[in-house]
Amino acid sequence: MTELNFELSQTESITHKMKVIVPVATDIYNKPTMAEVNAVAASDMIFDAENLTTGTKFIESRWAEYQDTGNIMSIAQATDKSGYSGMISDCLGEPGVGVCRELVETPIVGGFDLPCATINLLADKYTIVTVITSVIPMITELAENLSTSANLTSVRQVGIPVNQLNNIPKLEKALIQQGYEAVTTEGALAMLMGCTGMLGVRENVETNLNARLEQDYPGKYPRIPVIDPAQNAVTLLQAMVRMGITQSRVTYETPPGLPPVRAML
Amino acid sequence: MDPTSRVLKIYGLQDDFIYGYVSGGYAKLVDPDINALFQLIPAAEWNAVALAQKISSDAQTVAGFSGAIVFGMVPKEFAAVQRALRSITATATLPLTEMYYAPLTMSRTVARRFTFATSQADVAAMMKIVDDLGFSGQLAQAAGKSVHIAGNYQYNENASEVYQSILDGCQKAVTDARAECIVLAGANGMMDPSLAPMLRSGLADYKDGVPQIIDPLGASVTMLQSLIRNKVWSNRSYQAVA
Repeated sequence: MTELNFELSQTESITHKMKVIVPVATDIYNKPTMAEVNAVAASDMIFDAENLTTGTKFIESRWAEYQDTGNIMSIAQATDKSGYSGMISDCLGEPGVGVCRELVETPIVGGFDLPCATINLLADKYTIVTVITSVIPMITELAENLSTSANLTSVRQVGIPVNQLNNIPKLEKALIQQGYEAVTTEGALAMLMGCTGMLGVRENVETNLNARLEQDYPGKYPRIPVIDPAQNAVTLLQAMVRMGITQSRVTYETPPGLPPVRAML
Repeated sequence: MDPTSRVLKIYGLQDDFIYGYVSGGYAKLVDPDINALFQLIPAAEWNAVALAQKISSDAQTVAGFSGAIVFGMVPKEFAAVQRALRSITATATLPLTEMYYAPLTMSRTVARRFTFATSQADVAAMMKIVDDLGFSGQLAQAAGKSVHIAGNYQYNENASEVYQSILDGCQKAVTDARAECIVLAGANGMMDPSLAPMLRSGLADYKDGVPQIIDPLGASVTMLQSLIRNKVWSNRSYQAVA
């Protein structure tokens, strides 16, 4: 008997419209976010970005999440009726995601659950490095809800608020420093960047973090993967769309009194 | 992305039925920018050492080799698959996965509590794998038992009867155990890519709730494509199973 080899290739061309909900009331993040998304988008997935018309300029608190959720719901429901195949509420805190899942049939994801699922595939223990201290307990809650707390060595912060993340050299330096400390003092084996606004820095951070570790501790630390939450959520959303799966209606029942969410099979 | 610049390979145990199913039915899951190749290996060569050698060799010699999946969910083979993947991970720089972690992870992204619909005889061994991978906390159970649907979907001559038995099992899982997502986990016919859509249709109006259905090979292929696009791979010390 000999080996059998064959190739899988798409037999029909379907283009999927995909929505990136930028969950803040400003358009300044749309363009850099789309650059980040398009870097990992498949050629049959066409993404567009839409920011909120009302709400906060950035999310660093539960209050801000609450303020923005109504508009996120409106965009998600409109997207659901407009022929889109998938959508993402592009924030690590997953604002509005659980609520929207009760209201729409189109798969909707946030920036936390999917990247955490991926990082658990790559390493046993990891750190999350976010923006400022106020976000740390919010992320800790998300980790507990996802049952991944045991895999976390820490939730750290770079001390840079969202509206200053465009200072790339400062951001990269801080992420590398926090990652370095997490690896050398806590036993972290991977790092999740803890804000979807940390744009365009993943590869540099991963390369330089590993180079610094190797320089200071030759051969001691294994390769440390660094995950960009937005890019990872986008690619796994693409996976969900290809598989034809969406949020479970047992987990996310349609609220009483509302019409049933349309069937999507 | 250049379609020829990324290659993922799926290694499976050679079996006659596989070709017909995967060559056509899984095509829609393929990322058009990533070249997906199946390599089916004769049973006589199917062991952890040979598998690791083959994947390692391909990683060195196949142009654009970007990741690999080991196809199959037979519990007694899982430890060998894990040993093979660990040995490769120690040296190679590419994402690798098998067919338990990816579908369980995918389940977690659309629901909270999952269960298996399986034709596997050794459910206890499957539950051990779930525990080892850290998913036992999300397992929906009825009276301490997971859902186990006996029978072999592929080889049973009365496919509609077997489909109905699986559908009944899925409904029972929802009603009795509030299963929110059902991972198909048979070694043979459960890999039929038409099964998950059929079950979704069959469950669309189920009175106690509509769960999600996860096809394991589909989850593995699409998750690996995700890793390839993100250019991330395992930490070298990663060991999923002690």
